[in-house]
Amino acid sequence: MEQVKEQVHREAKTKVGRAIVVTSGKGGVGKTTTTANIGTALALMGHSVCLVDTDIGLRNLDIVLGLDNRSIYNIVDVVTGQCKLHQALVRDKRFEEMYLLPAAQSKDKSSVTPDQVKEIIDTLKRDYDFVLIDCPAGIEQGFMNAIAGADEAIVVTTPEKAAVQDADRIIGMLERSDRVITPKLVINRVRSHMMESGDMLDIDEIMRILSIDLLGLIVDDEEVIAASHRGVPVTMNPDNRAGLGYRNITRRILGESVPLLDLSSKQEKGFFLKLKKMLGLK
Amino acid sequence: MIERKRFVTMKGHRTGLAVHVNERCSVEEFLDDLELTLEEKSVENGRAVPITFFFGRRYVDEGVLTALESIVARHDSFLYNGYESDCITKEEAKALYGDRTFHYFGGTARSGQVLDVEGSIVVVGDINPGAVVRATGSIYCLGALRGTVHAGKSGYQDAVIAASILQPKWLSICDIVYHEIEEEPAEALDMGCAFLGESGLEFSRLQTVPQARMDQFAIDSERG
Repeated sequence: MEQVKEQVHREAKTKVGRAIVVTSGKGGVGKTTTTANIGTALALMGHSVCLVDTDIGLRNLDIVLGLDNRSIYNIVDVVTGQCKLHQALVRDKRFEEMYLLPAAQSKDKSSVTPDQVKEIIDTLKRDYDFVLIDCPAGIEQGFMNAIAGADEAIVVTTPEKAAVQDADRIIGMLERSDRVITPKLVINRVRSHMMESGDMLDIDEIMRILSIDLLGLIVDDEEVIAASHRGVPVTMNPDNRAGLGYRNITRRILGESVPLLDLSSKQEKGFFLKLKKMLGLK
Repeated sequence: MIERKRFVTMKGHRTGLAVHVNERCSVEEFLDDLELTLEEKSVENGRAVPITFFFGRRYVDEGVLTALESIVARHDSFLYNGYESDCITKEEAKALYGDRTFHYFGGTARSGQVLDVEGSIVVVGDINPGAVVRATGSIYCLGALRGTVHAGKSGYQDAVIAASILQPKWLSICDIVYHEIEEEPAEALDMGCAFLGESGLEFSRLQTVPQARMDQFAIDSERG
């Protein structure tokens, strides 16, 4: 930790970055994918970004970004003084300025404390416009670590009762935390035809229960899975609707007002029709 | 023989004897006097007369009551029939007053949150699925009630549960439980209210809650 402090003194830069934690409570709703895509979109728009994976012991963010073979040091090494903070950062060469601070795969959540994470985030905020923190599932120490340095929070949920109830719990915890973070909501894996048939919670119901600001919707798309598989975040694909959703969310984070995507299945049919026409299938 | 100083006064009633105890003497004094008085008034082979004690502004604890009961028990002609006192402890007062105290919770009670109060609670917001609200008194929710609620948890029968939108996951008043899957109404009730009626748990619109429950509202509103 001494070294981190040293670094703080040495690199007294003037940037005041925004630290945003991406969290959900429930696992598998798309925290890591959302972190990777918002980070990518911010980098595409020319902002300097540092992504921090706090899911120690189960790191995934490096894989989704396609940087898994390039990480040498990790967040635990920084905390224990094995390396300096800047040595642990992995640069994503596809972008002007996007870096990743990987989590350790061999340790567990108790290897770092919230204060240590906060110190790292505060340091990174001086160097980057945005620091995105990928939070692990659950409400234990990993969650506490992840929110320690955050100024803002994005809560990811899917239109399922279990995910919404867990998101609700997380929102409650964020609201009551010492830092009083007001979270914003991303609804992931939206399937409009299931919402219309009543087999899934619809957007209005989710908003009624959670009653926080909606940052955006992401449609359920196989391309998202394929993109993670290839290590190329889906938002780099200009024609994909999920990717567009992430770019819209990013623009809203930057303060632009962007209307929500029209998700009605009618529209979707029209969209696919257009796509098929473009491809010469119809 | 010198007339001894009396610390207990006996008065006959239709239902038995009322024993008024001096408020200012020591416990030993009135217990001794009681012993002697009962001795004098004992009747052979008579029917046991119930005695009720009146302590006025004297506070009596368990120890005194036990001594009192054992004295009465030694005399076959008398039967201990409880006591009355104008004094209670702060704790007892709190318990008495508890159901009528109001607590306020601003904001939405979210999943995992537990609000447990002595008295009634007003939630200025929603009660979400997964949140738990328990009260010895009533529960009023200004928003949508979708969580788990238990009113009158220590047996206060007049407790009510009211909400702008009443759609609980689990609702209970005293020890009567309503579960959304087993019973009606499964639909959300606008301006709904749940209370204990003659046939158990009943649901109705807030405006049609029986007069008995409305009295409770009236008293509370007078107290401000």
